[in-house]
Amino acid sequence: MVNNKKAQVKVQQMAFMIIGLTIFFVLVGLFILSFAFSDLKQSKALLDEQEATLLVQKLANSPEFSCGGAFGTVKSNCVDLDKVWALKEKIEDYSEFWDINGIEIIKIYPSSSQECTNSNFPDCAYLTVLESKKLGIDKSTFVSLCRKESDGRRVYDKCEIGKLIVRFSNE
Amino acid sequence: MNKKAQSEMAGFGIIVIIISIIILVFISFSLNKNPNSQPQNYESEAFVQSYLQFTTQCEKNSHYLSSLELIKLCKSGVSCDDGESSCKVLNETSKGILESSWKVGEDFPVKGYDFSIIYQGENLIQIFEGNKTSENRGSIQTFSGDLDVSFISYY
Repeated sequence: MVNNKKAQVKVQQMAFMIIGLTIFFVLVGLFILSFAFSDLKQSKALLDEQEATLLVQKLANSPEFSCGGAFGTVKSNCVDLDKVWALKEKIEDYSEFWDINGIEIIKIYPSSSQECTNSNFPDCAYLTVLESKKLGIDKSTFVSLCRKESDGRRVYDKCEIGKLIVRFSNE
Repeated sequence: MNKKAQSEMAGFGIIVIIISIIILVFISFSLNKNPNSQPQNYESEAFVQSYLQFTTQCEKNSHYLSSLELIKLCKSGVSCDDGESSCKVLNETSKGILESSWKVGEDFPVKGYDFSIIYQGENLIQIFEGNKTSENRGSIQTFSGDLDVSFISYY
């Protein structure tokens, strides 16, 4: 009788121990998972941002924008303004090609203030290549804005500093 | 009976200690991991590339020089065709480009920047603006002919 009761107490002790340990490990598991998932969210946000940035750089070096060999040697982050001006006229054909909301080019140095139109190009400050119709996230990169310029005596290559701004959908 | 219970308690204690150590190691590893471990140098790199391609006002042999060509002219001590010092044009152009490209101050994300050009061991340009902070992005880019262009922005 005494042995039977002792055994019962032992079984009860073991059951409590197993329940306690299970709860303990479940809590530890939840703690680790919450840490892991918060890290994943951060990584996703960082990767999204890097992807958008890479896409801007890819766009700057795409055949539709890049200088290629038109200004001597092949240059990276170089945008051919004459080419872009021609592209602006045909942008409807490209509006779904890049899967982006808008493209804008701003001249940083030397600075100007007016929007580029047929009458003032290239002595202007900003050029809207693809007009943004939706809200989104803007990403930009520094680029050289190169074009052929004439000083009355000859035609030469002129490169200025600007930014290529691309608007992505935030959906 | 008493001894058995004691050894059971000791076993449980050891398990708790081991798990606590594992959790502590895990937490310290998670906290030490810097989310910005890969600084975004692309902006500085793109800026330096664009800077070097910029067409300056310095004309030599009926050709407007780029910043890269002007750096080499400045090192050789030769003036532009209009008689102006190539180093003076380089310095003024660099200042103008930096002031227009990077707005610094308390109200801006960028608190300061440090720009330098070292060509064949000689420091030709050193421009610093704003304040230095612990968070910085940028890099030193090395080009052919022993040219180092460094641009570091402070956030």
